[in-house]
Amino acid sequence: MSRNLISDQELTDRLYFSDKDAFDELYHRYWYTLYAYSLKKLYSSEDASKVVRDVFLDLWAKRQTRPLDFSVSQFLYTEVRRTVVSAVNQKLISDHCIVEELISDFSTEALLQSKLPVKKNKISSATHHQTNQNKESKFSSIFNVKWLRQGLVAKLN
Amino acid sequence: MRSQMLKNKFERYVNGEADPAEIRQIQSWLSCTSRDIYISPREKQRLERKIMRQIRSKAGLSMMSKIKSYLS
Repeated sequence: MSRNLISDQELTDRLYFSDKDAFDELYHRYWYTLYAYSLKKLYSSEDASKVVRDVFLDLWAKRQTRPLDFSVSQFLYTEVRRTVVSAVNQKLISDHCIVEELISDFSTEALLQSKLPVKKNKISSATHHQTNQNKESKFSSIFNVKWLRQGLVAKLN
Repeated sequence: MRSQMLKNKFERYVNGEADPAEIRQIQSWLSCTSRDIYISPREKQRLERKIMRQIRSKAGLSMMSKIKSYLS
């Protein structure tokens, strides 16, 4: 199968007919992103592998019952988050180290912070600033080109 | 005590019973991926194959398509 030429949508359509090559290709495209994300959250390669395995098993199991507006990337990212939460929940019983890792993110202060209304963050303001700069540079470059053309025409005349 | 508190919080989230602040808290934790990881290309390849093997055996996917592609 020639990679990169086939869209996710086409692969998903092939998956409906139990095309194993399409499944392999989707796995090849997404497994590492899902694995890296799970590893960051679960601190265990074994658990992260299990999450990836379960997510793709779920994709295969639901291949013929997907909705009309199905997006494979959206499905995989949603599933990985859900599976990670379930895995953390399981680990809390047996693994006390993860409690230490998680406790700062789930302190009372963090809960109070999350109750506050969403503030305009620095990234969005930086993006806004960048957009304005781009607009300005675009205008200035148009102005420069016009000015240059006028100068050339005047010289030629 | 702390692990029980976290466990209750996660359980409420999984069961759809968490309050909005808890949902936001868990979702912001899920969205934050600042920790860096490095996996060598060799290890990456090994993991890719290992997980795929597990998926194939669990899903009952035969290796026939791979064998066919190697033969053709």
